[in-house]
Parts: sequence; structure tokens; C-alpha cells
Amino acid sequence: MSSQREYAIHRAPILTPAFYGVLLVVLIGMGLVAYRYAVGVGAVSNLSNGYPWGIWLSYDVATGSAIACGGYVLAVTVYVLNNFKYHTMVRSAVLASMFGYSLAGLSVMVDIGRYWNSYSFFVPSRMNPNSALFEVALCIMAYCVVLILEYLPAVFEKFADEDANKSPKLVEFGKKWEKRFSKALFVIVAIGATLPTMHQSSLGTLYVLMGYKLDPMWQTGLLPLLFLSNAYIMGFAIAAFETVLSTRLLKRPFEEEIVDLSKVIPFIVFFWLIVRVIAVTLNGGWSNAFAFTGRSIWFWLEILLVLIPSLMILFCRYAKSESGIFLTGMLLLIGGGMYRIGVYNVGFNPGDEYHMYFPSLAEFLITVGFVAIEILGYMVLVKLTPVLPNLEKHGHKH
Amino acid sequence: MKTNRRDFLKAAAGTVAAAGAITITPSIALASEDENAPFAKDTMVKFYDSTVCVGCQACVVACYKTNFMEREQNLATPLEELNFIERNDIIPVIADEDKVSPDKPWIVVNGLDYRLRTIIKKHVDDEGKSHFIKQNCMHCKKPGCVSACPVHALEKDKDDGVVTYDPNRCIGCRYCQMACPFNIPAFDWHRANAKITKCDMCRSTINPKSNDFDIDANGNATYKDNPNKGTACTKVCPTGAVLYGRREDLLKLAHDRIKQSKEKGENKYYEDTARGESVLGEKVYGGTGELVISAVDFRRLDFPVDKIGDRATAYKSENIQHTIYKYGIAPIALFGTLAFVVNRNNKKHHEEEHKKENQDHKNGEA
Repeated sequence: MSSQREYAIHRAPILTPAFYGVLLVVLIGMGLVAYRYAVGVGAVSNLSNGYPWGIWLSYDVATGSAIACGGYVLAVTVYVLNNFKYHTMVRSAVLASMFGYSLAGLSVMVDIGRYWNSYSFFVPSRMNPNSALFEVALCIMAYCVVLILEYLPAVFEKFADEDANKSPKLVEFGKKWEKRFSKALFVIVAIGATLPTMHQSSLGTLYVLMGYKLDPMWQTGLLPLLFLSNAYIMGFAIAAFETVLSTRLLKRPFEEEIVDLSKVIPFIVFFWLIVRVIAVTLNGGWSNAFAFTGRSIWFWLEILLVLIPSLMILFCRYAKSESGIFLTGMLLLIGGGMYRIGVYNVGFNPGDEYHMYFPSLAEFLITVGFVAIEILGYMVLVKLTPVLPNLEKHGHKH
Repeated sequence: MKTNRRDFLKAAAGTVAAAGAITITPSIALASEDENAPFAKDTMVKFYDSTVCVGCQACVVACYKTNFMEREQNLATPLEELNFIERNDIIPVIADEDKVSPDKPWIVVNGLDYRLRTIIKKHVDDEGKSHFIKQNCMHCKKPGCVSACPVHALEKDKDDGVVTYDPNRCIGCRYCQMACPFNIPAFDWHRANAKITKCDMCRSTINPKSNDFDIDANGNATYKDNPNKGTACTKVCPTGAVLYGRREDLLKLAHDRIKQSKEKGENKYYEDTARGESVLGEKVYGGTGELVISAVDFRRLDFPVDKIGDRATAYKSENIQHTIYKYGIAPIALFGTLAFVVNRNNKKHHEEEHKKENQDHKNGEA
């Protein structure tokens, strides 16, 4: 039975030294979170009235959710654009997305000062649809639920494949729900493809309101479009990157599918670049871009770091190899992430009377702690539930 | 099924373009209707004349006392006498480093912070002359903070235009701070129970919603003798540098002062002829509920008027939001289309798999 499945449990010990190492990082981060809850946001962060949004939003939410777009772009590629040959990669991407998004949500709860009032989002008289943040918050919450639903079939599959003699009820339960979910799959997938389209663009709309406080190199009415296409770049890049990474770390054979998948990236990058150039031109940001300040260097880096890997994918044979995909994927992720942090932190300037924001050590450690939870959860769940491609079915040899 | 790579790329580009089309349209959309609407007739504002201000900071102390030190007593006054946003408003706590002690009986002010809704800043010009500026919430016509707040904790009163804050709704996301072009809202960084501090024209303490004047047939206001009228700062100001009243009246007063000084040949007020705004707040950010006239350039008093511009950014971002999400049409249509496509593709895929499996089966038997 299980050899016929598309996905399989990765058989390996869970409690490895790496597990304990990552766990330690998690514990340090969570200790600092507890401290923040006791004494306030100011005690652990370098945030100020001039720079009230730091890396918990720019990295954990804006960049983290874009890195977690692997599930989104793969769902679109497979189910909407009808490329079922990538189907084997969907589940691991969905699992990573599930952790990415729920941790984005959790770090918001660390960031916001009056978290006990967050039920306000569900009180109709308090909802403000004019606010992009309202849309982002609701959408991310809903998408977390959708991602859990998209992942759940893996759990049911595990139950269904248990020994029927030992636990007949569990097997029956698993089979029943697996069937139900496969019927409703198209609805879940369609919601899962709609929600990120909405909130990934709204993550950009958020900064339209900042007006002059965002540097003209970044400020534009086209921010939603730039953020959406950037999410696609990051999504494809992480799908490829993640596959190579799990190939190396879990010592599995190389999945050839990703070579084809990464070919679409240059086209999205060029689209993004064209929009970016139009936006900067319309906003008169070029004079700042050629001023060679810290901000302008950041501006050029974020363009070069997506342009170079795109050219490599188009013209360089090396980019098709395992390490080539790893390298281009990493460059794209850094470049795409830099764009988001560029909008959220680097390009933001409320005025000269405030000290420029740079995250404190505690802020870094909390963010790293959240990323560590993500890695830990992924490491454990691929070894407990069928998430990675089933090697027997795909005819790979050990 | 084998998909042609070109088809795949085409379809991918199509999806991105379609999703993008919904987001492009609003960013080039025209101004919305309420953008050109005038201020509400009863809009209450503060008017600050920098040339009259002597920098005594009595307003800062009065505001601190009313809204911070004696907030508890002020909130305990019977409801009939005062108009609160909420009865269980938060009573502020002073951080240790900000506490007044016998060895240092003063409050240290480094800009607006969680205690201070208003401050007076001093600017010394090239001739060594001092100029003061009162920094507090501008109660904009289209406030960025109100547009930003996801839970309506910040609201603009429809009648008198006062922007109020309700800590019982606030989630502490600080988007209001990010969105404010004047950097006004302050956050209580050192406390676990933090809140936003900003001027609400003493609405939550001593200044009830102002129905304290009648408008006669000619449209002029006749003020009733109401002891509650006015904010802490306007009541205490010894020189009358900051006044509280209807926007229309005070705007007229501001222009009169400039005109009179011109007629006298003093020319003591700065006039921003390039932007056509001699009274700050008449045009900047689409108009504000705080009017300022001064002897020096507003830019030197920390108002980057050129950067802020004459249009509130909230119009642009709300246009984007409204175009994409009007009645939820676009998202629902997107979802519908996707559901249809996914369902079709999924079915096709399963059928093909079945065929393939059957074939494999046959091959196996053969």
C-alpha cells in the first residue's frame, strides 16, 4: 500500500544532535519573548517613536511570509497551471509554508503592544476595511488555517497506513477523512491560491500610506504589484532551494523536476524589474539611487541580487546543476528579501531627529528563535508524517 | 500529461499579469470624491501664533497635569459633565526614569513621548532670535492614522473633526506612528501595558464634545459661556498664543493677522508664496485641524511641507484598497475562477492516472 503513495515518511531518528542544537536556539528566543511580555517591547528592542516597526515585521512577517510562498506558487503551478509533474514537491512546500506563516502570525503577537485586544479584528463595529493592515491580518490568519488544512491529508494518510490489526479505528478514521479531504481539495487549494494573492499585495499597499517617509527609491503606488511579483520570485526560489537543501541534509537523491521549475524565475524577475524601473522613474527616485548613500547601495544590491541569478538561469549551464540551483536560489532569496526589508526598514526615514533604527541583539535572537521553531517543526514532521516524495514510487535507487 | 514549457511560461506570465492588473488600476485612479469636500462646518481646531508665544511651556505642564497626573480624578468626574470615549480609560503610569524626585523636580522632555501630548520646541535663527513651535496632533482632514488603524481605535469625529484614541480597542500595532506625516503618536515603550499617546483636544478628560455655540442666520458662531470649553493648553496660555475655536473663524483670524501686519508694514509673518500657504494647515496634507502662523519658514520648525505635499496619502492607499476589494468582487471572482480551474485540472489528472494505472496493470499481466 504505502509503496503506491506519492509521499512517504522520511525514516530517520528524530532526536539527533542537530535537533538539540536548534532546540537551544528556540529556548533562548522564547526566554527573551517571556522577558518582553513582562517588561514591554522597549526593553528588548531598539524601536523608537520614529522607527516603530523593526525586523519582527520586516523580516518575520514581510520576508518570512514571502519565503513561505513556496506552497502558494507550487499550488498555483500544479493545480492552476496544470503541471502535475511538480506534484511531489507540493507537500513539503506546504509544510514549510505552514510554519512560515504561523510563525509570522506568532511574531506579530510578540510585536504588538496590546495583544489582548486583538479580538478587535473580529468585532464588526471595529473593523476598518480602509486599512491595508486589517486586510493583511485577517488574510494571514485565514491562510494559516488553509495551510493546516492543506497539510492535514498527510496526517490522515499516516493514520490510514497504520497497522489495521493494531489500531483498526485509527485506520478507519484516517481513510474516511482522507477521502473527504480529497473531495474538498479543489476548494481548499483555490482559497489557498486566492489569499496570498491578496495579502502579498497588501503587504506592499501598507507602505503607500507612509508617503514621504519612505524613500522615493521605494515609495510608489505600484508597491502592491511589486510585492506580489516579488512573492512569486521568492516562492519559486524557495521551492527550488528547499528541495536542494532537504536533498543534502536528509541525504536524498536529487529531484530533477526543480531544474525545469526554476526556469520560470527569470521571466518574473524581468517583469518585476520593469515595474520597478517605471516606479522609480515616476517617483523621481533615480537621483537618490545615484547618490551612493547606504540606502542607494542597498537599492542596487537588491536589484543585482535578483538580476544576476536570473541571467545565470538563462545563460549558464552551471545553474542547472544541484549546487547551481542552490546558489541561484539563495541569491534570489537574499535579493528578494532585501527588497522587502528595503521597503520596511532601510528606505524608511521619518526625519533626521530620530536615530536610525538598527535591531538589538535581543530582537535578532527572538527572530532567530522563531526561524528555529520553523526548522525544528519541519525536521520533526517530515519524519513523522508522509511529506517528502516517495522514492520507491519514483524509481530512485538508494 | 506533458505540458509544453512555453505554455507553462505563458500561463504563469498571464497569472501574474492578471493579478497585477487589479493592483495597477487603482494606483493611477483619480481623486476620490470626499477629497475635495470642505471641512465640516463645526470643525474645532487650535490656532497657534508663534510670534505671540513666549515659550513658557505652561501649556505643556497643563496638558501633562490634565491628561497624565490628574487623569484619574478627571475621569472620575460625573459622566453628565464630561464626554468620555470610554469610562475605563487607562490611567497612565510613570516610568522610573521619568519620575519627579526632590533632587530633580522637573520633567525631562526629549520630544513627544508617552506622557506628553504637546510640547513647545525652540528654534534659534541666524540672528540669534528664538522662535517657538507647538508640536502636537494636527487633527488632519484625512488622517493617516485613522486610515491606518485596523481596529478603529483612532477615529475622526464626524462633527468637529477631533481625532480620538481608544486604548480599549488598540492592539498596539503602531501603524498609526508609521503613517503619521508629522510623527505625532507616541508609544509607551517601557511598559508591558503600553498605549498610544496623542492629543485628543482633551476630549477624554476636560473638554466635552463642543456643542457650545450656536450658528446664527449669517453663519457666524456665537459662543455660549461654557466653563468646559477649550483644551488644557488653550485655557492656560497666558499670551493667547494658542486658541481654541471653529476652524472657519480661526482661519479668518489668522489671515487677518497676516493682513494687518502687512498693512502696518511690519511683515512679521512668514508667507509660503511658493506653495500658496501662509497659514500652515490650510493646505498641507489636504488640510489640518491645527493652524499655525509664524515668523520663520515652517520647514525650519520641523514641518517638511514640501515632502508632505498637499494631498493626504490615505486617499491613494484607500483608493488601492477600495478598487481591489470593492464589495469583495475581485477576490471572489478570483476564487471562483481558481476553484473551477483547479477542479477541472485535478479531475483530468486523476482520470489520466487511472488510465496509466490500468495500462501498467495490463502490461504487468502481459
